[in-house]
Amino acid sequence: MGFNKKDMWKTAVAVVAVAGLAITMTACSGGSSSSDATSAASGTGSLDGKGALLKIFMPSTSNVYLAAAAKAAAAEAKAQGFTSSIVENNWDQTEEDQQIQEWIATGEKAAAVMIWPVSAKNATASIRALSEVAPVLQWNQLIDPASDPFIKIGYAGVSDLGIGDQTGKDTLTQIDTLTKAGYKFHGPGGLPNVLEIQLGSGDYSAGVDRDTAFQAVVKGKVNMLGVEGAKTFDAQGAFTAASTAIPKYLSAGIDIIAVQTNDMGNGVVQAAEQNGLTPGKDVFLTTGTSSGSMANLQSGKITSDVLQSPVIEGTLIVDVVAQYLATGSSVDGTVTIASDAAKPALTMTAPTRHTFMMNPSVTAANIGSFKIWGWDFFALMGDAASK
Amino acid sequence: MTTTEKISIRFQDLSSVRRRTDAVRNWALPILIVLVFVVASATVPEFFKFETIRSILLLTSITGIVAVGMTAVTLSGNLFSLGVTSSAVFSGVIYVWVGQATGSMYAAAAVAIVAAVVIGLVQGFIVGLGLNTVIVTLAFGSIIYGLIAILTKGEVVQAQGVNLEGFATFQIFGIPLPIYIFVVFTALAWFLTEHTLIGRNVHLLGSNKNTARNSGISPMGTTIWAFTAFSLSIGIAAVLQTSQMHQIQADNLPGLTMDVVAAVLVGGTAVTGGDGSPVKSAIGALFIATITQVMVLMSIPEGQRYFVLGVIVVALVVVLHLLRKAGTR
Repeated sequence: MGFNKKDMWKTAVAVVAVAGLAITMTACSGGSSSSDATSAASGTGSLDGKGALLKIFMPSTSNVYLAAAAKAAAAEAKAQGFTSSIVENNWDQTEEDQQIQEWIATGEKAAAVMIWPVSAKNATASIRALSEVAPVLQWNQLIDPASDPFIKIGYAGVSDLGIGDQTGKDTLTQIDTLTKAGYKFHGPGGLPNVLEIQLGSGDYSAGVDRDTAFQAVVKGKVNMLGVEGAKTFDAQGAFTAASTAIPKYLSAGIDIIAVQTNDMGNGVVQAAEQNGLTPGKDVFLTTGTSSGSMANLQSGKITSDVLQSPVIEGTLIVDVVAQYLATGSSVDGTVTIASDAAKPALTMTAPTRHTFMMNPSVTAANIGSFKIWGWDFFALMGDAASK
Repeated sequence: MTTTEKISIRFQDLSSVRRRTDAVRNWALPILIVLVFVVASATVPEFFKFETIRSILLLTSITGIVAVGMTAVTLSGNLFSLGVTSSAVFSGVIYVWVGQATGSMYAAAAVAIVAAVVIGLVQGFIVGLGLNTVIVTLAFGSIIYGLIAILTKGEVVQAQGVNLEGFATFQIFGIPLPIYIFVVFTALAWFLTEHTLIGRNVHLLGSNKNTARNSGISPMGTTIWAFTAFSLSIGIAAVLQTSQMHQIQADNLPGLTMDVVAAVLVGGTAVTGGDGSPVKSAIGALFIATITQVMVLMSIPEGQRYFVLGVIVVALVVVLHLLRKAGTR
């Protein structure tokens, strides 16, 4: 079989075209995975940020918890050699989406992006867009399954299940203490009657998760009177919810009121007193998040809180990102960090994909001696809790 | 029958229809609330109890006081103020700070109320110049919220070692003071609105601004008066609220504005102004609190409660509006 010159030219052109196409496709596919992802895949080999930018998207820091978390994140970023930039929205997912689009359009390069979505279920498109330009860490709101493929680093921050679980354990501890003291509970079979005041009206995921974990711990050991949702997550919202719920159960006898945050607990204390109850004597309050005024905890009207430190959360998200960038990977699994008195040195190890904050119990007895990562209780809470 | 007689009969018929619709409009809500009380007492366990009734009245008191005050603004034809929350929180913060500084809850209350009134006066003046109430009050709400966030840094503001709780915890015959203050404030507002010159001016300004102006009524002065009455109610409510919670924070009371607007609307005050009463707004607030309490006692899930309450509010507002239109034909 022979080739004439014309055929040879055609063959040569075809070979060059195919080769060119192949080279172009290879180059394009490398480009689509982004330079950040490529560098992350191998890792920088150093925990030092070397001035790289960490971009943080989160709701407004006019809320004291978020202000403390943002401040801690910025401080830790500086300590690890990163620069940080925070973009706030007014608790509006649409606004956050728009801010993300605008930021991507600027072409600014970031080593990683940390997003606190206002609505995790509705943030998938934004997270997907962010994943095209930098590895993403989600914090405070658990990752929605639809967003999971686009989150390379993982989740770090608060565990609502952990807080609910610890509130349940604190409730059982309180029941044991009262039983030993000879206290007579009002429920059937001598079980304690428990009323729960929840964040939101059953449609707010943090409230639902806390309730689920709480009920799993106390199941069979208490008589649940009911779960009442607070329309707003402050002392007034809980006061309103408790003021309407307490009269309903007064005649049955309320032994324990479990409230999902201390701040809300302060409102429940008022509602209980307005209804003739004496918190700490004939009704006992166990609460979740250690936010707001601690006066009722310290005076015994609230028997326990669960630590939810914005300072730890802000610090933790930067540490997890630093470890990811250094090693270029994260390890599947879930870990809750220990309540160490001193902050462990950051190691060159891949972070766990789901890293939760510690949830120790806070009581009047231990609040003065609290020490985690070198901070006492009020330092851990930033300005999110007060004496 | 002469034409004059026919016209006379026609006017008599119209007058009779107006009287009937006015009667229905005036008594519909009070009768409805009595019905709810009677039916709930007979059918809902735990409803007809001192604790339950006291809880309803206590929850009504703060929203009710502001709704009564808001009625003056709405009656004067200035729609609603949408900056209730931030003004109330600002006043609450002042209450705690002055209380902490002076050690006196009375001095703190006086300064907090004056602060609220000053904010109201400024807003009333701007609205009196002819600017839209919604825009002015929203803008002021935003400015005040920002100011609170800056001044408090978002922290919980509370007094240390000073008793500022007395206004909320003091009880007479087992009934907390805020309930008495609500009743007295409503009675005072009713008297001022229905039996004084300034009250009639507010009505007339809301009914027809041009006629009011031609009658020698100052739209500016009357609007400022309406906003002053309204901001006085905010100051009182803020003191009671802060006293009740022992603390206040920038993002507190997020639902207060809408609760107050709902109470005024359910009470039957015309959005366009000129027609309504502070007593009706107070009853509107009481009605909403009662229905909410009944649904809690009936263990209706919270989502369904909001749905039912929303439907009731819309239905009442529509019916009252239709009756008002029928009465003015």
